[in-house]
Amino acid sequence: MNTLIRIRGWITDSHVINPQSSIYEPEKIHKLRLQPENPIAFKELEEAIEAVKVRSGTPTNKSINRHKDVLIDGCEMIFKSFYKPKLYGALEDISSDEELLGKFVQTVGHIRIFKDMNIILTAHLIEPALLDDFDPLD
Amino acid sequence: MTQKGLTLKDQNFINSSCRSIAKCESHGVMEKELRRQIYILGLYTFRQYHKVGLPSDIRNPRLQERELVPN
Repeated sequence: MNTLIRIRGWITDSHVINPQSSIYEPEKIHKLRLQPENPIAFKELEEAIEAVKVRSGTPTNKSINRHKDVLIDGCEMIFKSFYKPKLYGALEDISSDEELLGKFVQTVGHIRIFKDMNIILTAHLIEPALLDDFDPLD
Repeated sequence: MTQKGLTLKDQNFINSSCRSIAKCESHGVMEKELRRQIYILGLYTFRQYHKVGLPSDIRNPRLQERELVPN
């Protein structure tokens, strides 16, 4: 079951161009860490996840043995995809992950729930975003 | 009665934001954007302490400003 999400924020870590694997995740996974522009995004995401769990009938019983969902780490959201997200606009020509770091982007993806009840955030599209002109010093 | 103060979750979020903003600085994020991030962090800290959530308009930090509700 999928639910569309759209998050705007700064890229703080990227393995979009060069996917990574690990002992725990042997498949190569495209990962992205995003610091959302507004902390309200976490509340919205948590509510969306709860709605997805309810719709899919995922038991909320914590005694069930399953992996812990790792979608949020402190003030960052973690996106994982098996396929490379599509880069649009000024990001199209980027050839290394380092070039993506610090960029303000909009990421479109899904909250994906698997049969084993694990939930991940996937990213399918990353495009440059514009911040409004608010400056606290003005 | 609502008790004022930051919860452990709030404190963890603030600590993580401080690390993340420093990461953004090292990645070359513009001065203006860093100022905005630090302003939002201060706004979050101030309003979370008083248990009033984020304001519907970030330009107006006062406690009387109504809380932003998730979409």
